Amino acid sequence: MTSPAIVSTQQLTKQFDDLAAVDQVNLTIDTGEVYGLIGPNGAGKTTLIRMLAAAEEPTVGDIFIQGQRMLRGDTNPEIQRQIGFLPDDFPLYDDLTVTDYLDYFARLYFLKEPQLSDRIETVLNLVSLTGKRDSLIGGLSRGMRQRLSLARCIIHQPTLLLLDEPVSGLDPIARIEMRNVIKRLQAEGVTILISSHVLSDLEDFCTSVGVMEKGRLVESARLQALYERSNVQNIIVGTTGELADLEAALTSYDGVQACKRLAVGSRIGIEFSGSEDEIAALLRSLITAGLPIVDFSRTRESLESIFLKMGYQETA
Amino acid sequence: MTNPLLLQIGNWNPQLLREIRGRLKPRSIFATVAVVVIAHGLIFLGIWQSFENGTPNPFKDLFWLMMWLIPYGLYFIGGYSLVNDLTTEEQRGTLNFVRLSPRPSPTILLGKLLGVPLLFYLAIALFVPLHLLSALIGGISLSFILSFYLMLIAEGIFIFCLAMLFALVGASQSVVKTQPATYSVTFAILTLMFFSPAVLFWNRAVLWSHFPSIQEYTEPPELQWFYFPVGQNVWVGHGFTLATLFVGMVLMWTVLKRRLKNPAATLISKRQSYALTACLELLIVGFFVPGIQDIDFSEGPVVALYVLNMVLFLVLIFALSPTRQALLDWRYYESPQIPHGATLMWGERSPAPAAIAINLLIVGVVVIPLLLWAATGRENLLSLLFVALGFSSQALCYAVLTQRILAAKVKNPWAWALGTLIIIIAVPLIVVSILSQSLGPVVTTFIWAVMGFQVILFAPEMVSQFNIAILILLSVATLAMQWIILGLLAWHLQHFLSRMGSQEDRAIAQPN
Repeated sequence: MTSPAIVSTQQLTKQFDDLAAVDQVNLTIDTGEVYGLIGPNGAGKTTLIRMLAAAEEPTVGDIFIQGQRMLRGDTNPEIQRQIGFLPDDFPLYDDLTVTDYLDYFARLYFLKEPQLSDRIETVLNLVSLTGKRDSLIGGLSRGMRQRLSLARCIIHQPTLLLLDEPVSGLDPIARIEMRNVIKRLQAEGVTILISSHVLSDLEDFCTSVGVMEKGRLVESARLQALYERSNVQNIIVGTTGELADLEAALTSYDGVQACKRLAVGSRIGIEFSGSEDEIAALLRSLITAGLPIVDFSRTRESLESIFLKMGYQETA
Repeated sequence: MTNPLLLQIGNWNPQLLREIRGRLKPRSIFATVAVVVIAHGLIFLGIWQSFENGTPNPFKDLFWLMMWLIPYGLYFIGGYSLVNDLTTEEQRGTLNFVRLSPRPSPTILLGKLLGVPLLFYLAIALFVPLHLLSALIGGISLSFILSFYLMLIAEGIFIFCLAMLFALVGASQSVVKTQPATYSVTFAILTLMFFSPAVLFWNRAVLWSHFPSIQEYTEPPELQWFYFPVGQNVWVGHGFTLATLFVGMVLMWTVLKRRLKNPAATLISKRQSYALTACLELLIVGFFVPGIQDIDFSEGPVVALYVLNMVLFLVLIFALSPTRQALLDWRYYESPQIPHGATLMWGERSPAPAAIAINLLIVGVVVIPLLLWAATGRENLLSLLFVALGFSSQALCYAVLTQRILAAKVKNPWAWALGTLIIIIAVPLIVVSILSQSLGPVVTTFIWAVMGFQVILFAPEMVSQFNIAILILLSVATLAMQWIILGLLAWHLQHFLSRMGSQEDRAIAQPN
């Protein structure tokens, strides 16, 4: 049984002069999903997210959040309470302390004591800023400011989080911290729409992905379905014997698409299209052929590789 | 641990709590109190010296001085800080988060109004005891003190609403985004030069002339509104002023709410503009009813009515004209689905000229009966007709031109539109005024008429020098010229709008 859609759009379009920044997008995101929106710069990801957050009015088309239609020129407070929005820039009030900042936004969303204080503690803990609760925002590092911005958009416990390039511009450690926070939110059941132009940012926690190119949503699918559709496995085979014998055996095997000697050790990397049983059959045939196999490891094909093969060069 | 009172304030108005927390830092409070204490010290030093110099009642002088300094300072600094705060928030992007919250706009705006000038409110509050003391010792009546503080608060709220409106109107313009401080200083200067003197002049002329205890006592004016003696009775004067300020604040609040939630929208909707025009026109005309005994086109009521209405329409044109993006959205979305006439009359994003024409009709409905009642003789009625038609054509020309500029793909379209209108209106008038000595009054008047100000054509000196038939002929000629210009502008705008966006793009608007 499929979950009900928390977000759905119909023919959503935003036209800036002669440019269709978002062009007839029909997007559906089910409750509890982490939907990765990917595409090159200028593909329309930010405009789409801004429209979903009611920060931008569509030219044509409709947006439904939990079945409720977003009205033009007016915003429904009930819908606003459902949404947390983190734009790609994250302006903050430098004159406030971390706690006062979160307290302000919690109250804007009608939270009251004593739940308010508990919620601030929970959120500070979630974004690992407990130790900075009394610090002025002006003194925080970029990574901390980014996490505080995320804390701001989850303080009112939204059911839908819209994150626009949340890890861009962060150093590697800050990126990992941010990713961990997003994973924790995912575990709490929050539906997340996250955009990025870096595929590896999304690969390890997204459940679905959509590809935008030139304003259009050219692909939208569950990640599992994409992997299954590609049906290609990356396999590394290592031997203590002659590498040429192994290479000959592999290239002659039906289903092996690409075969490449790896730089380190006596190992060969192959791309193999086939089911689990066929992979097992390949291993059995190598052993039966008398080859001294010491390594046979399988990795999933990367999103980048999948999209390259699907023809989305810009996105990949 | 936060003070329970603060928590209650926060539950009622989070914006106010945010301003209190951001602004009432111990160091800022200390600095404010220190400045006030030093000022008190200097004042007492001055009073002591006045006593030594034999000044009879220095406390009355002090009261008088503070009576001017307090409102000037409050409106100047308060207005500046509000404009600066809102434009900076818009520039930084923080206002977007507030905008997207479910809190209603009035809560946010009220929090800003009460919270942003908080330190200055504190300073004024610390001066109040001295002001009251000087009033008591100086022999100022309690009723006057009450009137002063009542008007200080009411007019302060009015000017601060104006400041927020000024900020939110300008904040989305790229020229303001790069220079928020300059923009704030502009408002502060306007407050110092125009708004504060205007309200204090009104107070002094209409309200405080009833209090003989104040310095420079003048006789109450014979100001009437629909024969209602506004200036003759202290209660009526206060009631009328407060009611007018209240109506003004309600109108501004309506615009502010709309603007805060949707900065891309026009300042007011077309529906709101019709109500606004009717209200303001009644307010304006009310003052002219007792004054117009007979139509005199040379000076006084008719010219003032003409100029006031032109100012009203210039404001309406800017308040109603959508920008290029809104027009594009209208072309794609509203236009194909709703009858064309209806979108032009009521549509949020449709071009403004049709709505301006409806507003002109509303003004006509309110003003023309008054002028017909005042006009005597066929010549006067004919002149009235030409003045009304000339005014309407001129306003429509400005509306179409402004809409065309706002539809253009230029940076800072508002600055372009404003600059163009100022040049079109002001420069020829300045040139004609400078050359009026050499051109002579008749030629100067003709030039003014050609530029659209037909009202001046029927001045007594013109009527005495020329046959009325010649003046009417000239009016017809200038009117025909205006209509040709209007027709060309309207055709060009219509042609331009129909070309906005390609045919392929338009296909997206068609329902599947």
